[in-house]
Amino acid sequence: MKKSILTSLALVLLAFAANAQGSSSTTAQHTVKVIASPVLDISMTSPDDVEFAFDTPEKYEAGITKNAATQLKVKSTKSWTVKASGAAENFTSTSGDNNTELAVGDLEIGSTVITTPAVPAVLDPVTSAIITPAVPAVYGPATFADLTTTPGTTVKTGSKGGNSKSGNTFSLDYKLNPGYIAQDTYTMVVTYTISQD
Amino acid sequence: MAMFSFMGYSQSTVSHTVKIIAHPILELKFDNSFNKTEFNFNTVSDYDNGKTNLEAVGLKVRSNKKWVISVKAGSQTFLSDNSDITEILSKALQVRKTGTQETVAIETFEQAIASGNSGGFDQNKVILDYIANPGYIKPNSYSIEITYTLTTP
Repeated sequence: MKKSILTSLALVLLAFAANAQGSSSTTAQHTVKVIASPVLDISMTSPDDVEFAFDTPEKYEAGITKNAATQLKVKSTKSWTVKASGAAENFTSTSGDNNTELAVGDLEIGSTVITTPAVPAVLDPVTSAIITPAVPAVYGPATFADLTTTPGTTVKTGSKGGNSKSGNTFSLDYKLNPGYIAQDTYTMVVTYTISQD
Repeated sequence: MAMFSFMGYSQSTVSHTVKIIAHPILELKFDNSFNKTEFNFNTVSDYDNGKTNLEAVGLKVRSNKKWVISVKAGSQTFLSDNSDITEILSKALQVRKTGTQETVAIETFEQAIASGNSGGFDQNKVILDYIANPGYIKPNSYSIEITYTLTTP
């Protein structure tokens, strides 16, 4: 009797020992994988047509510059380059009689330069709060390049990131100084193309 | 294993239209650095041969089309000091482009004297000589209004 109890006990102890060695583990692991596909996106937040009206002799003499004529936003997973291209070698005239009057290169494009002048803070006489008056932006001289047909003219480069990444949202100035072009209405489709470096 | 795949909508080009509206420009002005519109007949030779004022009038044009300048007199004759008509016909006064020989006797109808292409004042300057040959006229002061007109052909 005593022997069978001891044997049973031994067998039970062995069983516990066996169970403890086969099923216990304090770690578990697997692989997490991220597949990042390339993203390259450009959007124009000012898609309205840009119009130049040469209606005074002074405008024909000096040309017209439109600051911040268009605004573009970029999202990219790599460094990028944006090029501008005109649809044809010459602007198209409405009359059809002046289709060689205005060349694609007469339109110049440059990255907008804004200089915000420093304005001292003042004391609001009503609320006694310290406020900094808002001032209009001052546009600095941009560096312009002639528009060309495809593949186009490089207008901006930047780093990977979304729209809020510094430099990924930007404006462009347009400048036109064609001289005394014939009376007519001229149009050109300008396309912005982004590519990854 | 857990997998995350990031793929989104993207566009690689955007476009808009640039439009230029070129309005007509046509302007004529005197170049005031040329102003010799007075003739003094003092000698027999003056009356015999007439007198020439070189570079008497300067005109400048800005235009975005080809242009023509015409000249005409405001009356058939010169007027005296008291505005009386006289026997001195307007064509006693002639005009020519400086440096050329061909003259135009000024009448009361328009006559073309110069033409050019589109451009500003710097590109389109016309300088004229006046030649007055009225013959032996009575001593007095006479004047006539001369009008220059700019048109596009």
